[in-house]
Amino acid sequence: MAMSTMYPKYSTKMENDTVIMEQRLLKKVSHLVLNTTKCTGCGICSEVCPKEAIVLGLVGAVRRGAVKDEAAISVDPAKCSYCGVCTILCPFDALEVRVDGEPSLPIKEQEGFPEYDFTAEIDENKCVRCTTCSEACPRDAIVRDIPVYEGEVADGAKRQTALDAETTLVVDKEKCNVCGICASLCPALKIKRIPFTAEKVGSAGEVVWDKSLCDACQVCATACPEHAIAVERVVKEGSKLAGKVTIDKETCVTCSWCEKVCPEEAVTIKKFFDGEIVFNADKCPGGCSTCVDICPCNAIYLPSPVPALQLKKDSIEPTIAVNADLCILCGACVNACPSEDVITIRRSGIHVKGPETDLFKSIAAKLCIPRSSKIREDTFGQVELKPLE
Amino acid sequence: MTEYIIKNGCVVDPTQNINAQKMDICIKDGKFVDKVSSAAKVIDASGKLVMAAGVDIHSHVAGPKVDMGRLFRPEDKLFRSPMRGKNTRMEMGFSVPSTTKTGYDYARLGFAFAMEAAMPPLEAPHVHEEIRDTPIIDEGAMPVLANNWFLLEYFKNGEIENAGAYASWILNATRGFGLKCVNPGGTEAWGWGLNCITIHDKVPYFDITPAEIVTGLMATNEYLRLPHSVHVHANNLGNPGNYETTLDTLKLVEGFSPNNDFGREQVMHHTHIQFHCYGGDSFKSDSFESKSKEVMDYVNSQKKLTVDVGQVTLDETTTMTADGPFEYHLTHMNHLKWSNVDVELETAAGIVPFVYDPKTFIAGAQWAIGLEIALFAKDKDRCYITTDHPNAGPFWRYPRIYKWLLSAKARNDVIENQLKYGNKVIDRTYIGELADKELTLYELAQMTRAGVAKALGLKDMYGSLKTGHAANVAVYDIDPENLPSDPEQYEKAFGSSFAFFKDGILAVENHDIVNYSMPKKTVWVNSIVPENKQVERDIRDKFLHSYTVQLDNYAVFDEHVHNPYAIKVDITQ
Repeated sequence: MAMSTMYPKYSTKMENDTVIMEQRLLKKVSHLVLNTTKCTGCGICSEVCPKEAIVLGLVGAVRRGAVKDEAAISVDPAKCSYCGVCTILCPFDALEVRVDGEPSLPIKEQEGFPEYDFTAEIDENKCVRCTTCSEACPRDAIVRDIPVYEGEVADGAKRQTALDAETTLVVDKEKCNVCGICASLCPALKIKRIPFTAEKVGSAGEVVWDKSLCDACQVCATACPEHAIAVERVVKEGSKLAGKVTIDKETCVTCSWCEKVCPEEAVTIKKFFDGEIVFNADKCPGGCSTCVDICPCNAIYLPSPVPALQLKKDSIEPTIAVNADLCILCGACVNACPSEDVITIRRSGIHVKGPETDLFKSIAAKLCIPRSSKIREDTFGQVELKPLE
Repeated sequence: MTEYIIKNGCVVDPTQNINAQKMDICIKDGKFVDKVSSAAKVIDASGKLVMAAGVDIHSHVAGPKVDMGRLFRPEDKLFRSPMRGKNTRMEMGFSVPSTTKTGYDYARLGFAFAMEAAMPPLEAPHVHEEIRDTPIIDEGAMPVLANNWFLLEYFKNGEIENAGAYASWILNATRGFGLKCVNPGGTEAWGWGLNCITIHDKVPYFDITPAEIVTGLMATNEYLRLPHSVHVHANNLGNPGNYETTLDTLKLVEGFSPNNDFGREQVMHHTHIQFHCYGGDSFKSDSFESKSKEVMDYVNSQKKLTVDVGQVTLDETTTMTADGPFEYHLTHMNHLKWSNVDVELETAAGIVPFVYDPKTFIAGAQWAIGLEIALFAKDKDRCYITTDHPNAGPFWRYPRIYKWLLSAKARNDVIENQLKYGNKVIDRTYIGELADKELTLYELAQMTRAGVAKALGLKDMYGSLKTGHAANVAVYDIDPENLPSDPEQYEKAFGSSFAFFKDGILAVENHDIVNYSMPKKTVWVNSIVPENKQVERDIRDKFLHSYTVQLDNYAVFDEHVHNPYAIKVDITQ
């Protein structure tokens, strides 16, 4: 290690939400930038790194915020070759390679490595622009480009503009005695009164209607003492809120919450991993719930207690459970679980597009090793899993 | 030791078929003897009644819920606590008397033994500390076991030997006397705010019924050959129409026979059965009715049963029971203060003050039903007088109950002059049918001494004046050959014994307590069973996982038990 102060120089620094690994050559600077707010501790980067430069640390504690100034993963800037495989395969978009300050993925540009192939689409015709998927999405990947109406914020768009409808208001001039009640009730109605004059004592004028302010509520018609107002609204077939709901593919991790909750069955999700996750609740010590807290897909839950009236010896709720339909097999739960053999993940396939190079094939084989967690690890402070089979 | 001779008393002792015979009772070295020397101190009992000391089979006199009753009812003491006497300590409390008042009052009544009816095993030290502070009388305490997690599991699996090993361990650990059953399953269900009303309602999680629990307890009790039988407070206490649950429960004895070396002939003792003999479907006077005859018909026909009454004394009192849901039900009826304790893995308790107001129909009917039970009982050796102290009234009202039973005139006086709805009570109960019936002093001695001691398996220790027995004897100002015409005399005489010997020591002389420092005993059952690794393991496991105390600190320490007197029952022999 002579000349260690000479080039290449390596460093790691933490700045707010990012950790920056740096390799500085004479003329070229490479960075691997980790966004700690996006990183979930899933460990895919660590498994796929061709240089074995990435290790997992205190996943549960970091993700729960119990440990500050530390990330769930740590990268050795000297071992790292800044190849970008981790960047391509990180499902959470938490890593980025930069060369001389600019994002750079030559391995992808030169078709040396494939990328995830998955489907995350919303059928615009079926979608009614409701709020369900955006509220259910654990990754905030739903882009709901819809006007904000006054129901949500006071100065939002007028609610009558939400409907594609034709509204008519007719005042029967024979009956109208220009009493002014309708205008006093509704901003859409004004009285254009002929000024009172001693010359001809009486009330005359006309009612003026502003269509854009009318929401066909019928209050004016009902309140009119002379039954002189008729309001009618015809809503166009298939009227929907304006705008569009889409999925941000950069952010989406294919958990499929949106697909499961969509009331219109408008969403199609195809995951990027095949495989299975199995929870063995008998081995869970209970009272931990780290996996629940750190699951990026909100797929893990603490089953609700059985009500006393239905309670039987064999009906006690399990300590922990997963909804496998919502799981993306990322592996964060296995990394965080402090127990052994509670959670088992078996990935059986990876959906990619692009060239399936030998490098990719060897990496895919590593990703498909079934694993569970381990109580006694050999290296202090590093996650070490238990390969199965 | 001093010798005594109780001279010329009129003796009633059913254990020797002595019915009002003039004879002398001799005492030497704490025991009855055939004769004493001329140096013996003479107690002149001419014109007086001599009986073995009384035995109380069911009374809440010591422990956490009794103490909670004392604590949360300061008004129970107000203006009702006599000043400290010459030979006594301070006495406090009306319905839940302090420990000292409890001991003195039992002595005044001529009682030598009282059974604390419900001891939560976890809180056994509390019970034993209060027993230590209760003067004169001997006491035992029954651990409550019908809602115990261990037993519910063993019964569910049909493991009677394991249940026996556990119950034996509990008896030894708590220095307990017998297996007490309170609202089987229902009190555990109360842990979730639920209850078991019939004997077929399943307990949540444990998936077992009260019927299975009661039969499990009987099987365990007979397997262990314990002196006393299972002591049952059935489900559905205090509700109109509950006599059917009571009969269902009583009939569970049919598959069992007594197995012990103590002369006990019953396999189930049903306690305070007055509260379990109700018909109708509401408390209204056009619906509520007595079913004492129906219940007592079965009791009379079934030799394997004993019962005690739980007589309502028409007082303001305090209810306290391990039947948690019942007490909750009660506080919603009378809107008086309520206290509740749930004991981990074991039992629960509730406490609510209650006024048995003679101006209400229901108190009158309950009063009548209790007396009916005592009067309907054919075999007086199997029916005992209690008040479930203090639930139906304080124990020191026993003399008043004796008066009502010995004198029809006294009963009619209550119906005519004390009860507001006397006629309705006669309409809805059997008390009118029994208008002429009166107990004899001989029957009273069966129901308060001889029979009780036998049912407890303590016939060789209490309830008899036989030579060789411990000299526990009471002398009352009643002449059996010339019974008083004024029934009030019964209440007065039984309430203040003329003389009372406890273990041969004169405790009451000429109506005054003269000695309260004699070594009273804590009677418990030392049950010995074959080694049982499974149960040992289960106990360790449950203490590790579920109890908040350590196993090593659970059992009552030897020095915590006051003058322990162990009755050894070894089933390995």
